[in-house]
Amino acid sequence: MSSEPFDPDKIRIADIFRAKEQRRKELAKLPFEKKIEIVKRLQTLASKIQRVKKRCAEEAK
Amino acid sequence: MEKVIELLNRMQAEGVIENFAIGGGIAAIYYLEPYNTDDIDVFISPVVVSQGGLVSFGRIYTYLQDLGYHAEREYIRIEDWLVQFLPAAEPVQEEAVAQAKRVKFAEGHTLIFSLEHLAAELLRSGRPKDHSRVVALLESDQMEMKVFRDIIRRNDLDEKWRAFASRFDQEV
Repeated sequence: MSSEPFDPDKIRIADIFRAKEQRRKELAKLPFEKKIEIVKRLQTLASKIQRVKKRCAEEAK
Repeated sequence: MEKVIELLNRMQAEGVIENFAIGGGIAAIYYLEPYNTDDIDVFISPVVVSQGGLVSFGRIYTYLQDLGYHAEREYIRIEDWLVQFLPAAEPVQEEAVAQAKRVKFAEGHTLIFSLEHLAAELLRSGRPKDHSRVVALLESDQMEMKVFRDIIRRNDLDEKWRAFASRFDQEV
């Protein structure tokens, strides 16, 4: 991403993808233990979503 | 995951398993950004296959059940993790176990497929999600392409690599 001040009206598509790529690379550099902590949080969230989805499906019957 | 690592090391020390290495999603997360996965694939070697093509994990399951860990379908739940033991039956898997990378985790160490072996195994496996991980590994700028190409060649994966490279615009 450019070092110029962020202007939401002047976003270049290439910058969006570059920033996403940069973010992925930063996350990839995290220590393994930290990544596993994130995975655990994602698992908890996924399981909560599953429970809510199941409840909604049952209520819709 | 500390408990899983501790148990794997203990099983190896006690001769329940000879060689092992973590592959699959957890190995990919070691090299890439974290994403949701709920199982740990543990490849073990050597594998004894009966004439009927059956692989016995009885010793592993009994050992873990005696410690209070129980099977859930093809997995064994160890604390919060579903652990799947897989035979390193394919040559590339066997090589990946033999040449696994020793990595630190918390107070201990474990063994994980090298980046190049992981990519080769995912290429061999060939599901769409495996291919997308190969792309991510290639784009991570961590891959030693000469090492990867040698693995591909040694394990007869040239055809799969050529098909993948043509589909995903990679240099063969």
